[in-house]
Amino acid sequence: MAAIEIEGLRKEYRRLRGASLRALDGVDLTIASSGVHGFLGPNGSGKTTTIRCLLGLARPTGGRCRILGVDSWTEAWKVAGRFGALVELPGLTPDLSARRQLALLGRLAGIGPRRVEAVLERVGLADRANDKVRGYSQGMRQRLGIGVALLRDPELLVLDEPANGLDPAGIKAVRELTRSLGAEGRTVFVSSHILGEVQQTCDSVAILSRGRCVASGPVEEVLAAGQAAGMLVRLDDLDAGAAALTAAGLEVLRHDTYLRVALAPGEAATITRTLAGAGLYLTDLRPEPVDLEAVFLRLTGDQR
Amino acid sequence: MIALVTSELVRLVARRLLRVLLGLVVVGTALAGVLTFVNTAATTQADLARSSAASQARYQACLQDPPDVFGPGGRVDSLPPDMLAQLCRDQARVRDERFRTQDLPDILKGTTAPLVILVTVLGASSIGADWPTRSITTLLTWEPRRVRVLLAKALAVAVVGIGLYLLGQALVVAALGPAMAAHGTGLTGDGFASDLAGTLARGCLLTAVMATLGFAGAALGRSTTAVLGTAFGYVVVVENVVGSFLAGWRQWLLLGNAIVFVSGQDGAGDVLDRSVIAAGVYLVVLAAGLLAAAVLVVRQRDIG
Repeated sequence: MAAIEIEGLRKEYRRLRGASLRALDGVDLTIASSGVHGFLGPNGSGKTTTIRCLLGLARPTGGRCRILGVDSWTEAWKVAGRFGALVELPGLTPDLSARRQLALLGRLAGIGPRRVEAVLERVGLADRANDKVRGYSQGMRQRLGIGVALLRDPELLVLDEPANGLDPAGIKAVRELTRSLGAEGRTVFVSSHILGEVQQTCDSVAILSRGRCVASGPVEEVLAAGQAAGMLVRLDDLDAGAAALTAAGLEVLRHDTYLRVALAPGEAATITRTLAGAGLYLTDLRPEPVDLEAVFLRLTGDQR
Repeated sequence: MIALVTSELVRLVARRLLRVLLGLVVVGTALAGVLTFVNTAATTQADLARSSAASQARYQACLQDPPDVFGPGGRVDSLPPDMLAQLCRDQARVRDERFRTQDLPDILKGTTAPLVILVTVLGASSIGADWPTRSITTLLTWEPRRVRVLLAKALAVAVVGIGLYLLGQALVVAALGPAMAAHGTGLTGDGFASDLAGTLARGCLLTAVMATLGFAGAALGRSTTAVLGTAFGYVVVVENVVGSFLAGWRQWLLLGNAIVFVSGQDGAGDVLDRSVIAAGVYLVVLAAGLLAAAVLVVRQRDIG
């Protein structure tokens, strides 16, 4: 059974004046059980709205949204003990300490102080556990929010921008935590803007743009599908090389130390043949490196 | 459900607002206690007997030679005998500066009003503060059944409100204690205990009603400030205007029913045709109706 099943999810916000705002426009997404799954998208693409629909916090205008096999809007309570969530900035009671906060939530699920202490330790708040949340930095609040999500020892974790407000050490800690949670056999669904983190941490990724899922699957597949048709060429005389390749009908962009030729790696022979024909010899020829950021920017370019 | 209510009780008691409200109650009652002590005095039975004899003499003298209360040209001697007797009784009233212990229930009826206002603020803030801090979002990821969450919160705020009311009244009695002990009449009269118990019981119910109204209003408006502002405007403008110009409508107004209910007298506060029981039932129905509306709206609403 998939941990998350989203089919044709639509969400519109009615406005008093003007047309309604369409936040989600038929999102389809399936997240398998276990593993770490990234959820990417520019600001306003609908990531948080999708997560809110998934957790039963927002009512879909259309489509279907299921979490751990049940309908998110009507039946999420049936599986509430099996998932944990952090939605944007964590919503906490400012006048309570971290320990009290977790203990109160834990009481709702019959969770005792031992588990609370373990979670405080895991998110690195054990030393400040008796301080009121009002005095916490944003990073500490974020870590406590993650602690809230972890408290029930859930099989599914939904984390919306968990690295928000964290310093580099905190970001690294979240990355390691996310990895370890995935390694424990849990399903982690994490939205993020930090593409490098997603690429390093996630087994699969989904990219959202303008309320639609424009790519999803294992990270390698998404990278391959979004791979740029580009080759980087180095030779002694860049100007002559550019002229020869352009004369052969290729699209060439001259950089300081290399040329970028808009050609798929499988057609690299065209470059060597053309340059050799012009009496020019390569010093280096390689496919343009592609990372998730490049794919993300290409796929969501029209929205930014 | 019990765990949810308990958790909400702890959360409410931990709030800084409650401590601020308690501080106001302590300062207010302490001030009232000091002023009462300063403005009362111990009087012996002998002093009272002497004052009574002097009063009787003044009364007789007044009947014989009515004072010129109407000024030059006035015709005091033309007053009907019963009005003249009343005038003379007022003129010859025995000055008794003792604290009238038997008036304690009436004093507690008077202090019900400010306490109920504070509890209304607490009720509105108990959920009004949940929207900006987004603690409601966190709670709903733990317990997605919104009706249960809202009812638990409403119950908790009613309980804490009643606690604040009783504590406030206890502080009033404690603040008046020195005046009662040193300057009190010590006479409680027939039905003192039942009058006192009835006053407190009705005060508790009114407190619960107002806490619920504040809570439900803030749940609908998603803001403490907005609901308190609206309530203030409603009481000052609508209730005053309607109450002043449409006497027949007074029985349907919040203030009129609250006055009748707290006073324990049918038709009190110029709200004719309204019995104490009917006022109580009306207030409870009003609170239940608004709470039901809030539950229905929040149940369907998107949570941020």
